[in-house]
Amino acid sequence: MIVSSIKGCGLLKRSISLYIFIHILFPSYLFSEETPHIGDVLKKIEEERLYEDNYWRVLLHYKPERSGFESLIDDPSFFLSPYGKTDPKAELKATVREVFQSDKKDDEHPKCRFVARYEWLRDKLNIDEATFAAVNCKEYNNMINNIIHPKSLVLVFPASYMNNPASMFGHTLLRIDGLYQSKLLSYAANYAALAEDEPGFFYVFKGLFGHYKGYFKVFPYYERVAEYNDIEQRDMWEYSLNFSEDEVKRMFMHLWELKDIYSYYYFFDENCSYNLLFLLEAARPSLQLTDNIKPWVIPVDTIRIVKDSGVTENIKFRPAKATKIRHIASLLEENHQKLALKIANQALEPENIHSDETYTNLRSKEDYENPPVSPFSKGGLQYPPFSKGGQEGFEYKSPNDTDKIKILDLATETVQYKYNNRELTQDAYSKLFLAILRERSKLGAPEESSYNTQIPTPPEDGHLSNRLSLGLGIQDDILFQEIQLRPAYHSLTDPDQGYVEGSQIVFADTTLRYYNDGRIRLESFDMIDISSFSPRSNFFQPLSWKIKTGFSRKTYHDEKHLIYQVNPGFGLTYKNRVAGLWYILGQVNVNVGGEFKDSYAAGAGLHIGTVKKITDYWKINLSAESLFYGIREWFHENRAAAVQSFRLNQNNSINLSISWEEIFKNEQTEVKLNWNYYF
Amino acid sequence: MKKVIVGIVVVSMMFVTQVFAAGEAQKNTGCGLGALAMKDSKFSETLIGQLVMTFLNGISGNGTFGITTGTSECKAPTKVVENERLKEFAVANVDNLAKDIAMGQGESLETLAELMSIPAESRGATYAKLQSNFSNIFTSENIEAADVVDNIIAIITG
Repeated sequence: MIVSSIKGCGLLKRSISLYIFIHILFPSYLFSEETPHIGDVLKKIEEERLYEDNYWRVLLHYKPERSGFESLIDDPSFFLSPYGKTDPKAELKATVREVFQSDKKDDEHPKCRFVARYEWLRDKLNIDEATFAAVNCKEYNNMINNIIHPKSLVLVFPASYMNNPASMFGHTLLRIDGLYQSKLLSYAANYAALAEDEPGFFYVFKGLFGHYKGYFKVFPYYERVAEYNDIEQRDMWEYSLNFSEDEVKRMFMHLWELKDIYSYYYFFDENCSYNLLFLLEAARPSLQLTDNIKPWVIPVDTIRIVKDSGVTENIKFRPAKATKIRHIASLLEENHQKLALKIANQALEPENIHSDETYTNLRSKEDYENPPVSPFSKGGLQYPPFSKGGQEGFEYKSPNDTDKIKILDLATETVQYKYNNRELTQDAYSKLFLAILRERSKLGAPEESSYNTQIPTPPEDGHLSNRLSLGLGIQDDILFQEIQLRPAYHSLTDPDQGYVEGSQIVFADTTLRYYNDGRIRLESFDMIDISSFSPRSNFFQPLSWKIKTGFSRKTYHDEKHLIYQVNPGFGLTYKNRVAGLWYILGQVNVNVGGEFKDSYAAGAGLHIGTVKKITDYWKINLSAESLFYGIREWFHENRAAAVQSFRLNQNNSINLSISWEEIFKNEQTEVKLNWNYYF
Repeated sequence: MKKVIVGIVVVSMMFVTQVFAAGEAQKNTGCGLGALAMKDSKFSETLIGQLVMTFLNGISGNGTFGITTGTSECKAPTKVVENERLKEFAVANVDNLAKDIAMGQGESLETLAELMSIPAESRGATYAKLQSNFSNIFTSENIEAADVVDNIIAIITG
């Protein structure tokens, strides 16, 4: 290649002109005598217009662009013609010439470098394989025949991080299953941006606007499982795909072509999930998965696209470590959960699980007054006189062997979780881990299937990512109608199915209102509104938080003004049977607007609320907020709301909300009914 | 007004940059228990960190087409014929192997059995044997994966 270190689209033109320049100096380059054979081949390409073949477009990632085509691949070494990025015909001809004339050896030869292109050409043009018998693709053959053995494909979607709604966007991988029964021995391909520079402020912006190069990479699947399940605590969904072995092989040939090839990574559209779809198209070119794409691509939407195309067969769920911990804990009574915690916290030697003294200690006075777990875990410890079962409340049920197995297994998972979370040193972890397992190994295997976690609603069955909402309401005796558009993604009051309970991630939510007195108003524009109300338990103690920033209307000096606000908050969330999820957060709010003295006002206060799912179709969210402004302006702001949500089906829901707010002694009450449509 | 906004932006920029700078690279913690990579630091647990993670989904900073796990500094088991996959798997999964052996079942154990070509019909008995010999396999907390594999083979063939 003439210019190998091209960094942006602007520079690409320079490489072309450089090529033309060279061409003028050495005109013979283009018109070197071609063997008659090549002449015939090129003629055939013209006659059959092979460069318009769909598979050729798929392999080169060509997309229609104004009058012609442009490839989404940015790496010049992916193209054999200097015009290849925008000219499928020139690229095809150059490919033929290179394949026939290249004097490169073995793995460097275009036959080996661009295996899928070569095989397609060979079949289309009836090229005799013997022509290139001397070229030996050692690396490629070793990879496909000795290491990966591609046989079938599985699309993998790691869902959200615990307590991190942002990760709801997820990620997708393509697992390539080979000869092994164990899926851990498969390999997984993904597309990811390679950040070469030091992380810094512009990291994010570079990711957003295509300043990082994205590459396809292949990893052992067990590595990915450890990363997502064990370290990041993400449940994984595995969708097996109905590709034949030939199709899988074609996919792999294309993946090989993309080795070390970059295209610029754009967070919103040309991201990890979108690029993975090209691999599926390479397996089966008729799929056309990469065509019908919105300006932004949310990974779970690519799962839907793939599912809608009919290639998915069945779904498997691979629970995160935290999910396993919750599940095993749910099989044990509180006292026994506490034993597991004591072991994991090094407060109880694992071998003492068999000793009666342990159970005497468990109801010691000190324990009773200072439960080591969490001061908030009400009802967590069934001591006398709260004990349900025992005579006079003093009978403590010691665990039988089945319970002991679960207790030790729970302790094991918890210790690993703590270590991954850096709550233990490697030394302390290894000692404790082995001590528990030594006890555990004496107790035999648990009964079959005892740890099969309940499978939640798969993410693609949740409501779709965009929301249009039409509303009708009354605000202080004035009727209004509103239209609301939200490009992404999920809010507390949307149906939970397929999402993480208590999480919200909203971008660019825009509301327009028409009041019956003739006013049309931009009511609010929530640029970012994220909440994570993640419940604390004996095993996990996450912090809850929220961040909201955007424009909203506030009554100030008897008039409504559009105010810009930044409103973060931190706090705690608990869950119980009666109140559902309930949260309490401390918050600050900075308001910016011309109406304020020096144009801003800052305050602090509280935010409390509950989210209670009454049935699968009915959810209630109650919340109250109070803010006192003492910086630049002196006033208070109070707000309370009750929202009932009714889920009609996957993509329709109804919200009925009643709210009251008081700002600067201006009170305002509002009742409204919204129909939400997800698309 | 302008000053305030500029101030907010500058302060938050400094904050974000600081937090990023605090993130450290994953450490290699050896060839035995606990060698699995840990979280990159507490960064991902901070508010800014969580927000930024939205945008980092799919951004990573290491090599390309990395087929191997990079276990070259770890020794290989001596009792098996050259078997790179077995060694790699054992090094990367030694914790889960310990857990599965102690529990007498599990995906890592099945994977190991497959890599050692233990026939399906004798696996149940093998798992039970390994479980009852747990302490002879994991002899100390400093044991390396290669020794674990050797001990396993000694018990199966012994």
